[in-house]
Amino acid sequence: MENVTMKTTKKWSKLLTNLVVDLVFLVAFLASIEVKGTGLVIHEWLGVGILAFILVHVLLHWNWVTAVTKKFFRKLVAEPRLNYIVDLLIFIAFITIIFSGLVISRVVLPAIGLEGLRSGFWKVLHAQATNLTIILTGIHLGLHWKWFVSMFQKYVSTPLHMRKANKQVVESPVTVTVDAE
Amino acid sequence: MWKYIKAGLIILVAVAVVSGAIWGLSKFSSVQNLFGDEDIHSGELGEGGGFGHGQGKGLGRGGGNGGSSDHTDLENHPEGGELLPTGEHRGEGQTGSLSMLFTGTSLNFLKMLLIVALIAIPWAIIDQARKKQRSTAPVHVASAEVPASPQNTTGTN
Repeated sequence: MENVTMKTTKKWSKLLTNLVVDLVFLVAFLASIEVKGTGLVIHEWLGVGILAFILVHVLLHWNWVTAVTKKFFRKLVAEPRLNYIVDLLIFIAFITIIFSGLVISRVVLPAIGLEGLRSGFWKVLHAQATNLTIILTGIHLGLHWKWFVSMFQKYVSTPLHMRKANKQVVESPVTVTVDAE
Repeated sequence: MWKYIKAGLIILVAVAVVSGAIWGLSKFSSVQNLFGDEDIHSGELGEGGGFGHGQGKGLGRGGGNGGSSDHTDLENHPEGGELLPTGEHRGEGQTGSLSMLFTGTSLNFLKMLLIVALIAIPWAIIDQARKKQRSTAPVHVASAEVPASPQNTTGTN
């Protein structure tokens, strides 16, 4: 019994890790594309940092990636195939953003003693890849919305309700009557 | 642990391959033409400058070079010519066909939210219809050994 509880807790903690990583990744991405708000320095360094998020995100789902890769051209239902294609496109789009961003970099490359290019091509590619990634990330989140909702219920909504209920039980007055006889 | 390292290396190789492919493709003039070789600049955060012969094709947002009143655009410089580096790319102009849909960077979150809703709502409806169909079906057979979504799997262990 104890073993089962431990396994469940371990699985839950992994799910929670997934949720936290995904949320931080999303916030980092949204922040990095708002250049006007963050400024160029944060924009560029955050962009480089996103590479680490990609690595962690893919590693966390590595079992799924390998399983679908092996079965992609064989018998496989539509849903994982669709997810796989969208995820692959997001991966390529993110690498395009980061790579083209590095090529035109004015903060990161000079920091390591290199000079970025001033080509319009790379700037347009950078902007277009960003637009495409916004769309693809929206699709990705839409396809996994159910998971986000269930995770929110599991880790935020339900614990909050439980805490409220427990608080009410503790706070409610208990009257004890003892017979004199 | 070795599995994590191996997976990490594969991902890094994939990153290098994609980057290499982009670099390689950028050498083709047809690809360069596809994305246009015009400079992009949004005037809002432009860092002064403004002495270029404003031939920037105008697909980008903003387009102002910010700062100098000496700057004039195509009207005053019909001869065009090479665009000199001016406001640079601080504002991250969004150019091309996609920018026709996505103008203005400050609403990125809302744009993404809109797409999420556009996908999630029909997806939920389809999912529910599918569930109903399954519940009415006489025999249920598990159709996929692979989980539909990566979130259904945890970790690499």
